[in-house]
Amino acid sequence: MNHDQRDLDGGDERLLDPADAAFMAQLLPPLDDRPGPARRRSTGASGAMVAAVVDAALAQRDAVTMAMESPLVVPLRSRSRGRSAMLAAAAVALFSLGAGAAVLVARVIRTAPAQPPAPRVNPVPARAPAVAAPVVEEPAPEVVEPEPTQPEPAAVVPPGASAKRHVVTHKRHRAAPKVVDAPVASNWLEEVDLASAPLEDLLALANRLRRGHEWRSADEVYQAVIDRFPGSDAAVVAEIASATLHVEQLKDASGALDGYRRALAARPSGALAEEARWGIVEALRALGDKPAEVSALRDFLEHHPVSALVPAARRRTVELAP
Amino acid sequence: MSSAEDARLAAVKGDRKALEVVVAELLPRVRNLVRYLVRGDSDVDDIAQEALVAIIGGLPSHRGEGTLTAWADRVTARATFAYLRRSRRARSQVESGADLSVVPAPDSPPDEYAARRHAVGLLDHLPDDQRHALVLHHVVGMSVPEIATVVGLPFETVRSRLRIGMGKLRGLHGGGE
Repeated sequence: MNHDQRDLDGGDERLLDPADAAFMAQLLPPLDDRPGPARRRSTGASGAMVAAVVDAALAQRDAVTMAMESPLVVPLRSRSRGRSAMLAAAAVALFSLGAGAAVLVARVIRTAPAQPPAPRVNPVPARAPAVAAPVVEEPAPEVVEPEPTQPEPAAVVPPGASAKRHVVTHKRHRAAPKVVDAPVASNWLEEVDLASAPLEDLLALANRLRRGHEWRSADEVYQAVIDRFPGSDAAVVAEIASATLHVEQLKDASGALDGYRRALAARPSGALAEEARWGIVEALRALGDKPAEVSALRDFLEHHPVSALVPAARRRTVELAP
Repeated sequence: MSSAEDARLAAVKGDRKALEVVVAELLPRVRNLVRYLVRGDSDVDDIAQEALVAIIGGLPSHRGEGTLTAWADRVTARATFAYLRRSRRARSQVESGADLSVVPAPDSPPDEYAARRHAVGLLDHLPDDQRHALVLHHVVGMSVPEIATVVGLPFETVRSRLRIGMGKLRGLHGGGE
């Protein structure tokens, strides 16, 4: 679609004079799939993201199917309205979980070849607000926009997990009133037992915490993943995710550097190594250690010569050259 | 039947490879649109994934009226607005520090990617309402009535936002030269 002078409302009135139209056409060209303005990503990173999206979408579809078939969500015959709400809640809960886990993995791994954990197809923990089921009709905003609901008890802690070693309290956010910069109301509480919760629950929780800007709690969850699943891809992913939080949010570039280095030591080659090496570059930059950053850039270019970040690495190297 | 339509139908049926083809095809465009609409890069992939999941979920309802990409653009815009309403983080999204990926080499010619990054850098200084109107109009190609429908506002309000936003954008652009 062109974006020259365009009817404002289908009538004769024009929004732009030719100079404005040319300016806007140059500054904001029509949307396409070429690089920019979203940050460049490597082919591997895009592939991981595609896999994560497909996993989440298929899990969502399975969840809806199971929710409709499961006796767990078939209510009393006289409560058809309740059934719809329950189905919707279950579907959205699983949608949130699936997308959340997928988002985390893709955001963090970027280049990870491993499949992200599929969410458990268990519609019982109706943690999400009751909104319209996501697969019907047009996927309008209400698909992903929670409506205000009453707090509900969390059903995340597995049976028999009363002897909690470590519990994170997660404040769940509601839709806020339409006031700019108003504080978000937090009246949802849920608890996840970090000592026994399934990996996918931990990843989903960490993702929600990140979205809620609860960086330290998210980091705590990542540490639990690292502790409980040592040596696994998930642990390395969590290590990188934690390091990213430290450098981007917690103003702890030094801690981030340690985390990236641990991740690199665990996966000295492959997609995760690319992520870790780039993280090292960014952490050193944040620390202001230019000689070390140059060395890290050199290391990155040497090990990942076909990375999508190579141009950026070269430019930065030039910029740092004396 | 076109191969694109074949892929869509296979994707609707849950064929994993077909889904991957559809998602891979839409991914760059969805990410670009999300970045046009939100400040900073930190949430782009999260929002893009939510949008793509919504797109896949809605594929059965896409009956071929208009192109798949145009329909996907609208789903993406709605998913982005929903995300922003939830997160309420617009002001805090502005990232500090230069973007490593766009630090230009002294002798490198201006490229399209850098120009686009520059453009969204300017957009990052606009209020969300003006930014969204500009992006939907100029980038996505929506008419004012369409925008009014998407954002739920009167035509005049949208027009006003477009005019004011463009004026600010001109000022920002000129100020940077």
